[in-house]
Amino acid sequence: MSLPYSLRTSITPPELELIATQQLIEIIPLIAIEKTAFISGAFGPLQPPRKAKIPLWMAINLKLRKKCHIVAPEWLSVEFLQSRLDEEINEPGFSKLPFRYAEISKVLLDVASDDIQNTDKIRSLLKDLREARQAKSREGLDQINRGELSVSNLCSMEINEIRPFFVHAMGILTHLHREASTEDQL
Amino acid sequence: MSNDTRQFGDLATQLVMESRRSTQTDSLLKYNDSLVRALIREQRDLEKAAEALEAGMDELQAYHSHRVERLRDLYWAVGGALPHILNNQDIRSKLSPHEVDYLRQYNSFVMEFRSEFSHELDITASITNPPKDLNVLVHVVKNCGVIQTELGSIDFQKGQRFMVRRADIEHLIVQGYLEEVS
Repeated sequence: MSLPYSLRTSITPPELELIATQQLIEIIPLIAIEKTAFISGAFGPLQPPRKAKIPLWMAINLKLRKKCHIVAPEWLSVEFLQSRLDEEINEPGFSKLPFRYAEISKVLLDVASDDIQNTDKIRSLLKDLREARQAKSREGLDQINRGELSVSNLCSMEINEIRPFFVHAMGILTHLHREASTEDQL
Repeated sequence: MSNDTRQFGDLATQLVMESRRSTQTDSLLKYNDSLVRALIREQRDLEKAAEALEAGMDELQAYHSHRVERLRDLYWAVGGALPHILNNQDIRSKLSPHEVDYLRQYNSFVMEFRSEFSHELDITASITNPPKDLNVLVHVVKNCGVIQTELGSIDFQKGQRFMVRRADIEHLIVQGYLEEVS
């Protein structure tokens, strides 16, 4: 088929990153740009020093050319992430995080680390969050059944990670269940 | 075999002739047991021959279906560059003439479809990696000669490096002439 092998099992993290960069983010432009039409809609005008909301991909582009500063989202802060990490460790179930927090934080830390406070602490918090949530996913494997899987507050990358395995496993469980019930009928 | 079919034809005709005779003479003839049995035997033999014809059909189909899928994967993996496949002796020697024909026809269909919206989107472009930058730094692995790009015509000589528009030279990376430098 025309879809490359590497893309057949599931969506790849670079693709998820691309999707995440469509989200709007606030910037402080350093140059003026007129209102411009893009496929997804019109953005601008950018009038420094007024803040503006533009798609993340555009913000990254401007930032790399030193034409803007990025305003870090509220959740990309030590306070927010620390409180979520505490919740993650102390409560069962997953804490509520922005759906694409992994992709957006990765991109912002790469490109705009100077616009973010305490980047080292934030990186370490993000790492701890990922590990805590991953451990919970593994525990949840016990409860897998053939019918449905209902988990709240899982994020984009996490869902993508477990999807291939879970779908395949649930298929096998269904198969086994069918065999078991036809045997009962015999 | 044809001997048998003629015989078969004769036997069947004989039975029908008996029925006609019976009608014409308005009499009931004796049940022609031997003729009927002979006909049934003939039928069974023909059935067995037909079964033998069907056997192996599934396996044949599976084999060809698998090969065709691999050919299509190969085609898309090189971004629809058919000459790249057919000029490669390693691959060419493994294809049957029918498979070469298949590839040629498949290619012409894809090209026709592609041309309908090629000003908007190139469906043979590589989608393995989402686009990040407009431009890309490439290293020339094999000579590809002069290529037209958005920035003008560039002569790609082995060993040289160029900063070019990704869209212009993507197909050259896929076919192995250029290498992306990270």
